[in-house]
Amino acid sequence: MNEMITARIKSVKRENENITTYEIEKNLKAKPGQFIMVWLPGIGERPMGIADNEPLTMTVAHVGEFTNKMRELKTGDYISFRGPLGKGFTLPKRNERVLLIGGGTGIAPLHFLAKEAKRNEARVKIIFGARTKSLLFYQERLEKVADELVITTDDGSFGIKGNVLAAIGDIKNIDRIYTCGPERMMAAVVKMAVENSIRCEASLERYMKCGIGVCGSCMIGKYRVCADGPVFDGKLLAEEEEFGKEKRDASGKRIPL
Amino acid sequence: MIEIKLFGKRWKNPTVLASGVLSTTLKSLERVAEEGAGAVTTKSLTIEERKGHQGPNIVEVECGLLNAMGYPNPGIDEGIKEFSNWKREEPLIISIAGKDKEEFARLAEKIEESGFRPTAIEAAISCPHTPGYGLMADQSGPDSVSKITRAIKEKTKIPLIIKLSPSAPGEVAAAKAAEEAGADAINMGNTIGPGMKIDIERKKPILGFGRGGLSGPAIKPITMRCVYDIYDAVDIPIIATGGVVTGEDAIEYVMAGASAIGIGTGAYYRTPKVFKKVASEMSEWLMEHGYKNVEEIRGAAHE
Repeated sequence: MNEMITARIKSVKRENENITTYEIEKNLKAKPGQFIMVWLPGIGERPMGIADNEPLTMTVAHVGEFTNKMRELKTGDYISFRGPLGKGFTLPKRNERVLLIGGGTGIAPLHFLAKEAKRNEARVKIIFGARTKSLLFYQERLEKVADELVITTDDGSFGIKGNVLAAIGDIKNIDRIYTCGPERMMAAVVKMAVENSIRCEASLERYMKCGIGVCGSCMIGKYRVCADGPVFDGKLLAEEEEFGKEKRDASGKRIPL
Repeated sequence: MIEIKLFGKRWKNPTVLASGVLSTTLKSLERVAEEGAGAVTTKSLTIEERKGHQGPNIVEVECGLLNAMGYPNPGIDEGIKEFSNWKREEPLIISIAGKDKEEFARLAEKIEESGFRPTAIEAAISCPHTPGYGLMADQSGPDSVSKITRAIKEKTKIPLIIKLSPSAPGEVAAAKAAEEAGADAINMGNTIGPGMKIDIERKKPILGFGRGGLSGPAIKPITMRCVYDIYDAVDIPIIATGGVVTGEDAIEYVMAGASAIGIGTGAYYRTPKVFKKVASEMSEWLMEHGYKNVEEIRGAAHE
């Protein structure tokens, strides 16, 4: 049953001015790419990616009313959520060479994926892009789970200057690509992967209400992001005209990405 | 065997997607039709755009789902643009929700003026959890039903379904009032309640709106009795919506008197494939029991 779960916050780590990581006293036995719907009583409910299982971890960018309210959460506070929800990433097999491309807090579910991929003895390269050095976070966490970590910044203040695509290098050595982050970035990654016939999966975000596949708020084309996704095959996304271009708001009205 | 004819159109089977479930976008409705629905109903459209209630909007309880969506929709104008591109052969039903008979008339007029011809219009007058609409605006009584029905019928000849609530008393009188005022069908069924689920750790109702309508298997016996009583009272077709998950649930409603079967929460329990499954289970049941056509058992429980 899709119950509301309430647990205590184990730790709160401020990653940078706008990003916080919360560890929760719970293990949902989630799969990488699945998500939870976090409930703040009196404020609402929002989908959040899962950054780790043990303990349940999420990394949140404080960008709107809901996520700004989350700044008030402290160690020991209650937090409530439903999940794990949705369909996660396909885990790589032993010795597969996989490339994980993340932007912003999209790196959080990829961290979880990298950890599980390492457990399967896959070879993991991570590219993590941010606009500038002060917006970076997670390097230590990522170094623990990646065989190779490449950081890019748009302004060149840290790592490679440019966007994530600039850091891909030789794609011939890649068996699978996984991406999570701003949708236009993912659209570019998916395009590149499909053109080069590399298996690829991307994790999408849409305005969600029910989170369990019945209300129809989070559709991309004929797919329910909450239940058919949020992780989708790149080839499928490449054929969706809305991908990388538009989404729906809370009322169902089309809005550009 | 399970093909029916309703509103002058052929339905490949008697199932119809209930309004509010997977019905925000055209492509979503196309998907549901691909998954086997005999007909589909859009999200209810209001005069103005609505963002809906604060979340959580849905919470699962022991016997069903409790929801308070609050009619999120982009408004009638955007809605007509979205849904008028329906090209599939399955009947499309447009659901409208107005605050009063004037709004219902205006909504019907907008559809009429747009040139868009859905198979039917469904007037939602039975939502239990949206201020200004449905039960919260006392729209389900016979007087109100009669006025709203007439107001819509004055504006358009598109067949009209009046969607009643199993939790508003006087549902039989309301169905009769709808028929007398010119309605073409009754949809007996909406969520029941409103109900409530409290999180005992947080000491708060979970739904953002506090209360919400109950759907799913728990409400089926109540809706069943309503369909049964209405079948005795009116001659227009009845669409039964409430708690259908299996073909046998649907057969039961047909025996109570239903012509078509609305499915919403069933798409949660059995994924959107529920339509194909219910339809084939209905066929199997009919075959096993020696019937050639679903029509043969309609109202059978009354004999």
